[in-house]
Amino acid sequence: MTILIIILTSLLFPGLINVIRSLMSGRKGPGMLQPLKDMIRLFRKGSVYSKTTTIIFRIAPAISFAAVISAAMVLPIGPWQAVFSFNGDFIFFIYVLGLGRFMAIIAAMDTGSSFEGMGASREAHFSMFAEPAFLVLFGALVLFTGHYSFSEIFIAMRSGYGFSYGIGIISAFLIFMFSLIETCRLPVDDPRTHLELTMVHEVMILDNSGFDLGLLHLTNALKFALFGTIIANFFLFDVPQWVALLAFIGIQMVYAFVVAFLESFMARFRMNHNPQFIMSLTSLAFLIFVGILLYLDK
Amino acid sequence: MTNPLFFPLIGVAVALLCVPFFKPRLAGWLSFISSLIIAVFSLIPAITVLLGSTVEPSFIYTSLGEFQLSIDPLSAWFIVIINLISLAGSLYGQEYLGHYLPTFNKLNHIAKSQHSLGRSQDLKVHYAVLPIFQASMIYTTLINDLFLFVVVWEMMSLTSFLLILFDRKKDGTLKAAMNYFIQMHISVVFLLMGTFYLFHLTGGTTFSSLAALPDIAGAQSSLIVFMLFFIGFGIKSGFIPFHTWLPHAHPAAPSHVSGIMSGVIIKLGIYGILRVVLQHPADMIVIGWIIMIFSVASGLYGVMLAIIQHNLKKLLAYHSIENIGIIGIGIGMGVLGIGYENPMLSMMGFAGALLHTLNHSLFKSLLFFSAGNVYQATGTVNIERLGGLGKKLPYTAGFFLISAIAICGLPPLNGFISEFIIFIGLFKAIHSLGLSQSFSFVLIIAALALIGGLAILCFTKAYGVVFQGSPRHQFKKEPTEAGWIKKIPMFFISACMIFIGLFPAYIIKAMIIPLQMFMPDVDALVGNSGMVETLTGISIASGSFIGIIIIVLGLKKMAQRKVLIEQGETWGCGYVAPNPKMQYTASSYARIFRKLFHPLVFMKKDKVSIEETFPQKAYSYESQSTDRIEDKLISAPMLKLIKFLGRFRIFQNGQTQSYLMYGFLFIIIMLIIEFFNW
Repeated sequence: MTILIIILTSLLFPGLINVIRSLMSGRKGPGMLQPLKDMIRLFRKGSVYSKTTTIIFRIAPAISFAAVISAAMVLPIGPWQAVFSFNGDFIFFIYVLGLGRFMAIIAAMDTGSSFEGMGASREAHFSMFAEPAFLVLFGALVLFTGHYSFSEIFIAMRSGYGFSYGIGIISAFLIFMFSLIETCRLPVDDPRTHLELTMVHEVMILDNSGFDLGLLHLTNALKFALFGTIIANFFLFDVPQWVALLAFIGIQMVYAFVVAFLESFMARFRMNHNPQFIMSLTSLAFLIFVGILLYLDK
Repeated sequence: MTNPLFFPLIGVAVALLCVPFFKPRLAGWLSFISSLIIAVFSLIPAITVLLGSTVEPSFIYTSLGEFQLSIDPLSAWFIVIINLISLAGSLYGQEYLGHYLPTFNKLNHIAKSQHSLGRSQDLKVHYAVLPIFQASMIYTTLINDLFLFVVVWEMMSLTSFLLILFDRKKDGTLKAAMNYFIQMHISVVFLLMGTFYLFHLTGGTTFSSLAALPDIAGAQSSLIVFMLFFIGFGIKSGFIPFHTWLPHAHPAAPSHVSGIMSGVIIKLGIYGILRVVLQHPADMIVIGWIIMIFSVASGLYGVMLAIIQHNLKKLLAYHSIENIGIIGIGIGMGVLGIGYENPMLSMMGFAGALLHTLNHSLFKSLLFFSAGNVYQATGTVNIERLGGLGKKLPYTAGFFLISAIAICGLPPLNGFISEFIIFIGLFKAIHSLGLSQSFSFVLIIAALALIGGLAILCFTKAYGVVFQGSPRHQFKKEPTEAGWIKKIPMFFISACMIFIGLFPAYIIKAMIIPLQMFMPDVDALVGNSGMVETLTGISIASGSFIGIIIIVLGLKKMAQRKVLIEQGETWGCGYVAPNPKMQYTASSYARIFRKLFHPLVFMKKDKVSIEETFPQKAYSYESQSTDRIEDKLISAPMLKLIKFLGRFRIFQNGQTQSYLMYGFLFIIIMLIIEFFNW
């Protein structure tokens, strides 16, 4: 059930962002289903593979996709349980996403194009600084709740009291920023830029076409849904399933709105400012940790 | 002499008495057979012990007294690792060293540049020493008495020195080997000082006499003894700042030896540290934090320096330092768990450390073997000259990729399992310890996460530049894939890695007996912590991950059945004549990192730029990585020392009369001292 909800959300999410963004800039814009239609079209198309590439280039999109699906499997949604849940599943979550990225990076290097090498280098650097923030944040949540898996942490936070919602809000903010890095959105990366030199994620997939490209778009959409699900879990209280579902959809819409809002009114950071921005997330995570430490009065 | 612990010596006898008297190729196989004999006879008692029975200790009677050889689960665990990697290395070495045989195809560029008449002698010595080296490592783990331990330890250092020296015609090998030789003896000096001080304090010279130390000698002296041992073993295992031999020795040695060295020798330093902390020689909280600080520093510094290396084997050597850091974090956590009386933490720490020791020896030796294949196919390990090897060496590329994923600690391979256990332990520590400890542990979590991220950066660079893209350099001879004798051990190691990655619950069960040495009641702890359930969860998650990959690839195959699949040039943004020199290089890939960590990682640049109207020199640019710690801590004081000692050179004037006078003066001074009874 959870995994189905996550996949369904992901199919609509990019369209939703586009719709909101067009409305904000006063355009009519393409329909909400357009990205989905694009993906279906891509899945049916043929492909061109570069002569330089090896088998890595052909299997990497599938591995990245599988990584994101596996990561989705450890996430619960409110009353619906995760497909599997074990102690430390958030470590599995972040490392399996890491594997997906590893494959994406070496697939980009596989083409021998300097543009794609550049994108790969940037992606590797940015995610490298983002990972500690995520794990320190979960360190804080482990400290706060005393549990070691997504499901248990979220349950413990829900049955808590005022302070836990405060923590929830700050954590959601941090996860939101983290998701912008992972999904390569503004202000870290601009998916709409035309110039290869200013891209990060887009330039890495320059050579992918057909089925692979469709899969990569789907993977990126799934990543949104993934982080949207984590954010939503901070706010899904003990409510009946239909309320939870509505709340989940609502939160996803708010999330899409904020992403679209940022994209409409912000410019991308200069590339060399990105690492600093990303490292500041780790400091924020440390602050949350210290806050909880002081609150618990050890 | 009927004790099973003496049987591996049969292998040594074969190596010494038979190997040197045959032709190199036969000598090689005899050497492998003696390794096999040593392995079989040492694995029998080791596995007996790991299954829960005991093996009778045996005694050596010498004029110095009676020494005990005994095997316990900790030694058994290391014996398994030693034999696994040594055998793989010995088999791999058969083909690797075949390139140095006089009969080897002379057209091959390596043979051409390095071939010489003395080679078959060198080969015989090398083959004879290899099993002795393996046996000396095994006996190191069996000895309790520190004096005998140091003797066997020395044998191990000397034999490995000879093994490194094999390629002595290559630039820098001799220097690197001497560097190793000297540093290993500094390590011995520290170990001996520790032993003497221990003897002075307690009257015992065994590892077990360390246990009485805190009661007899007090906190301060016992800490000094611990530090002496820690530095001694730390030099061997390559903790920062005692790591400086590693990045020189590993690239210099032939690849199978680098694999064994990085896989096993440095682990014996870890063995020594474990052996020492097992006796609780000093305040466990203090030594726990000491180990922790050294380990985190090693982990971060190792991987940072690895990223900027151009030499593939040097890159791997720095990665060994990083992984020693990760193992050390596990040990530190285990020791702190004992100090804070938190057995759960202890269990996680030691389990992570022991497992990562095994895992690292697997993937690091595989990486070194792959680097060896690259070296023999192309004649270079400079990654800026390589490229596009994935097509020519598909197996090597596959092995390198598997081990790269494992060393980055990514699922579904074995590296993830040990890092996962250490992570879980750190998270448990946050929850169960006090304020300042929690905060320190969250810093360690951040450091470990950063190490993981940096490792990904490093290995995407190495794999991407070496095996992918198009060749950056035209070699005289097309690179060709390694033969089956090289590939078989590599397949075997990969299979071990995949097994541990997919079925970690079996491994944790196998580790219960070695872990029992560190704390009682491991069975109950493993039960309470839900370790087995957690690891089963990982198996299921990893399994379904692989399942999804297969399904998606199947879907792709179906979707692409009827459509057109073409081959074309890489998209060059409209530019139609790309050439290999336009690819992203390893240096440019790591540039952002280098700029960010500038004062810590530093590249020396030699640049000749064009200035005059009629330039006399062509434009050239060369960058070289430097190790700041080595420069500041080893090289700079060394130069000063040499300069200072240079002042005494006047005494060495080459005249026999003067030397006789020095002796005469010495005797007179001695007599005067004796006379006045000073």
